[in-house]
Amino acid sequence: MTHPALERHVVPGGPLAPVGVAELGPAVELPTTSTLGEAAAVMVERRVPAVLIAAPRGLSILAERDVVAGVAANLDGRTLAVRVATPDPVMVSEDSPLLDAVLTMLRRDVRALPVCNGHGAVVGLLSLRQALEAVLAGVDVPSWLGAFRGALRISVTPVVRHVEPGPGAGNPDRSERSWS
Amino acid sequence: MQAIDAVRKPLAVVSAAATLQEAAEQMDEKAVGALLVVVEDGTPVGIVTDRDIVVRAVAHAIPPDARVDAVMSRELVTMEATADLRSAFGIFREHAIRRLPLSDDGDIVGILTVDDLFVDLVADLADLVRPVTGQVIFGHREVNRPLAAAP
Repeated sequence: MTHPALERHVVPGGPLAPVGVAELGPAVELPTTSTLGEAAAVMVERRVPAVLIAAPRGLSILAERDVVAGVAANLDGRTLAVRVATPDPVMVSEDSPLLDAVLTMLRRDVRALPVCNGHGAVVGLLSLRQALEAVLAGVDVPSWLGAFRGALRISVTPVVRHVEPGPGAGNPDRSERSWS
Repeated sequence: MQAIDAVRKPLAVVSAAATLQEAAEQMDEKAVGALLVVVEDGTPVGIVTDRDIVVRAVAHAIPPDARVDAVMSRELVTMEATADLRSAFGIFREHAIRRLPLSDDGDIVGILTVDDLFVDLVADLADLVRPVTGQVIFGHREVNRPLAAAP
């Protein structure tokens, strides 16, 4: 069953390399009882820019910006994270083109998108940097793009991996890495 | 292209004596991810980012009324605002930073972020791969940009 949020927000597919070939980070899901402090600690420990919260009305996402908004509202770390999380987050299908995912992040000014498979299950989190790695790995780069890779400390070795198409095709062996 | 021309967001400044709540409020209102931290006479002493507030404050139970300078980064690497944008690449790499304050005659006039470089890059890629999408997303940036020649 497709998550209700997906029916409204999934980025449509296209001709470019699919999101599923990128190396994704873990989609860490927290209970609704989690506090802002606990959620922030998880972000640090798992090195993710956002966590998901499974609220009764649907999925929410808590990004660094949401935590900042909580602090701006003078909420301390004991506040329930779901109180400042963004409900009904924009998601991206693993079959969508990477460039669409990147443009979506830039247009909406977010740094990470949950990625779902064909069954609507969230299979990971795509950060702006991971999307950049995958996009650049497939580009015949001129010299200044090479410098750009260096500026971001992106490995010259492509991180894009081949994924066999088909239902549930995903990234079962994704490793955790820094997203900062 | 000069580095300052790639900066997408206005410079936001906060006092070192301000609270985290005040800093976060500025970030939230101005939709920026970093603030230049200055002392009373306006001298910049550091930079505080949204990530700093998450990692160094909230995750460690530091309350919103703590001072900004308790969590800011004190290393302040800067570059001339009029320098070529490509000069920033090496500085980002050498210092492992994601935000670079730009100076003009000694004053900080903007903060260049890796995302700023990224936006230009993606605009170029969008030009090459899908001009229509690029124009929709970056319409204001595309007006004077010639369409990429067909490969």
